[in-house]
Amino acid sequence: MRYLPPKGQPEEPLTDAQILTQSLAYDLQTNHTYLEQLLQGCSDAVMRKFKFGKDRDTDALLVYFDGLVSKTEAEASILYPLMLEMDQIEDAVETQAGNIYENTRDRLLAVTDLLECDTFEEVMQHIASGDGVLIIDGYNQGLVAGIRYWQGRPVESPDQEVIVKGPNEGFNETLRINTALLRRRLKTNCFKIESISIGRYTKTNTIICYIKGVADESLIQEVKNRLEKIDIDGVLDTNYLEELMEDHHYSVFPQAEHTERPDRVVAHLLEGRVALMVDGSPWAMVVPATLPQFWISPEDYYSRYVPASLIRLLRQLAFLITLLLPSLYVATITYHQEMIPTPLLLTIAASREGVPFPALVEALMMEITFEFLREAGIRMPRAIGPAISIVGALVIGDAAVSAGLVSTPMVVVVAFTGIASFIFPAYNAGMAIRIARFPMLILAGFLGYFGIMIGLIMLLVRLASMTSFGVPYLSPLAPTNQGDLSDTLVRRPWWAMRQRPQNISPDNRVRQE
Amino acid sequence: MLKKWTAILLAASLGLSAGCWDRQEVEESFVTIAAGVDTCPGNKLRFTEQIPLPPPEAKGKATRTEKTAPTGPSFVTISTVADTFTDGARKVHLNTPRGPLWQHAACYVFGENFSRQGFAGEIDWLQRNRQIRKIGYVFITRNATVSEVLKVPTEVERIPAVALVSMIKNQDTSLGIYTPIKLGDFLGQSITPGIEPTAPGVEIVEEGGKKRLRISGTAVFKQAKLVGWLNEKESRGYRWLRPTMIIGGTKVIKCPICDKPVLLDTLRSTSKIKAEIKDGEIIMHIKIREEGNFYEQKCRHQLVTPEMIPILNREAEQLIAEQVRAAVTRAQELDSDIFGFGQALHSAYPREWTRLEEHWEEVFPTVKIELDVQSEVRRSYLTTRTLEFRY
Repeated sequence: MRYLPPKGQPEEPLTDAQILTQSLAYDLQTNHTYLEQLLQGCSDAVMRKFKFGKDRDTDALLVYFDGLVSKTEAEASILYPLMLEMDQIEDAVETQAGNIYENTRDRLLAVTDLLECDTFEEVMQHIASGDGVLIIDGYNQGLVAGIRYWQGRPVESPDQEVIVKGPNEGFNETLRINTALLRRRLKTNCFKIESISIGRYTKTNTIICYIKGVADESLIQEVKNRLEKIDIDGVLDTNYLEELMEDHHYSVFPQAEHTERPDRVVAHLLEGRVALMVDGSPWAMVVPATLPQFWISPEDYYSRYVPASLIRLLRQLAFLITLLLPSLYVATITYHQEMIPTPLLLTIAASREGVPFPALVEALMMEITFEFLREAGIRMPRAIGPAISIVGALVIGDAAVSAGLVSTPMVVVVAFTGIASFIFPAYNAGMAIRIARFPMLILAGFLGYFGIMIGLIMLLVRLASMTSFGVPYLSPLAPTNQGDLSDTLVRRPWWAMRQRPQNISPDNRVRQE
Repeated sequence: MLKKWTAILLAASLGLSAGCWDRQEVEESFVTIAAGVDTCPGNKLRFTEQIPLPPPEAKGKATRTEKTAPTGPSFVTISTVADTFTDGARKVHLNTPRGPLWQHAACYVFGENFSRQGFAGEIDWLQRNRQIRKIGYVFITRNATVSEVLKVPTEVERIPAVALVSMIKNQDTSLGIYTPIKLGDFLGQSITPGIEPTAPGVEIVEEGGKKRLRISGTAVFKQAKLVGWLNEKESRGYRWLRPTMIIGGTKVIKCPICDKPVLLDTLRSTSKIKAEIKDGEIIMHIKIREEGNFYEQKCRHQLVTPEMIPILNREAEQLIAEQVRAAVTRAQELDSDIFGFGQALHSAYPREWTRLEEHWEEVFPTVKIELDVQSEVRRSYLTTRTLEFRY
């Protein structure tokens, strides 16, 4: 007969996961033991045990994470009333004689946000969010006191989206401050901020903002559906959400607009879009996004419409230049020399004299060098910034020409393209175009204008077939909507902006009567 | 999955397998700025082309401090002897290391002797070559060979071919004697029945031991052969009948009071030729509507007045009519329908034209013209009165 372990082995300790599903026990000692097990290795967890009540005979436990709560408030509104003031109130005897849990909840805890919780999982979630949880001996419920307070950035002007004129507040990493920034601009109950928690470990608080009655109901529902399907361990920025929610996963073109300006978010909400924000990131994500949206800056709407329209046209030109200028140059000087005026051709020929590479290789080299410089400029410590500028300007520009590695016109073309690529208000769209110009360059180098045309047609077909949350990516250019078009290529004056864009908000379109 | 990627790879390599077919790097080419052919003893052709050299400061080595006037030759001229045009153009490779870029050819110069022998059958290549754009201007050398003309350096402009083109264009709008013609039009008019091409002549003049190029005369062609030249007056007359609008030019008339010269310029002028057959005679109704400005006078008379302007207008009309008549007379002498009278007849009387086309050569000299010229002086620039010196 083999030895079998005795059945019903006594008290095999519960695992963490098992504890989490359990409800709080009546016995404080059990609760304390379980909490200690759960918070083992969390050096920032604080478990403050104290006694209070009629004869100082009731045990209580306050749990929180140090650094996430305001200690002043914990002392003033939890510990102080319970430990000291309790005796001084008029009906102290009654209070202490009755249900001490209910009295504590209803009369003693002087905090504005007060919740109750039942399970260990809830306790963990609340203390991780920065609340303090008070557990009283003899009761299987915990009291959640909202005493969150932590160090964060103040509201600053946005670094990435710079404008000259207009509101200049930017989001920061604290979600509550961000919602306040939005709510201050939309003083209506129609402005909804729905909350959902995403991320198995990060439990990131994610909000869905929209204006009820303006945003399309089916759009809101679609956004919620897609959010609910997300199952991931953590979310640190809205880009996680974009990639998990977008219609076309293999496209380099962004299908959501990211912004750190509350005014821009509100402007989009007013057009019927839906904004998503996650706790811990100052970037809001706005869907649906269309390509023409990316050459629109919020400043367009804060300056007069004529200059704003001209600048918008300038950005569209920059869009084409970034995409096409290097390829046009390469195609022209290798295949279509008839397109260059004769004196310029002679000058280009002279400056290319002795350059050892074909124009295509030269262009690729310079474009990649430029990307190196740009990336280095972003990543390097600020103190050595000037060094990179000097190396970039002198070594790459001047010295490369003097050394005969590249020709002067190529430097001009690359520099001009580089400048044009910085014009986009939307950083992620600028990235997409920067990437798209490399295949264009290769096509131009192999097939000339014919190749550029093939590339453009392929790009256009692709863009025209894309959608963002059901909205055609090129709308209102294709499918064309004349009404919306006047606020796409140019900026429509405010007095003529009577309707919302049809592609985004088909139902409630009246902006001005 | 593998199949999909194989397909994508194959499709991509298809795009690249053409392998830069027409790639021609600019630094491995030279620009043919002017090309021409002339006769050569032994029933051969002498092909000549002019190649500009890049300006020295463009080479990127000279810095701003060492900037000096460009020294050394600014162009080279290469001549070859060959059987055909193409043969000649390719024989250039025997002494030139690079390949030609024909797209920038600004002018095509044909030798006088070559033109007299006739260019039919000799310049097929110009039509056929994909690289040749037919927007270069045509010139005929006068009293010189092509290789001589293309070797003459010009002073203001570094490249003589560019200078020639500028000269023919600028004289058209400022002076108004010769009519520029592009290769495409030249070839087109050569093969179209009822019209013959002309081309400006270019000759070499010597001034103080220095050779210069000068535009001189209009070469008249007939059946692709040079048959004669129009002088300055006849060239002006030919220009008035150009089918496109004329912009610019001068007219020198006589002061109605004292016979001293008065210069009027031309703002714009249009002409229309309409054919009519009347009593077996072919009459061309030529309508010219011209507008100009009063530009210069040598006498002190008050000419810009409501009374005098109509008189000036009549004078100008007479001058234009006279020039046109001279041109038509000369063309009829040479028996070359440079004005497109045949075409006018064709559009007005298509049926008669089919009959006349066969012996248009005999009919053309008998064509009569009827002129309807209207000229008008519009304004007189900054002053209406001339300065009244006491003399």
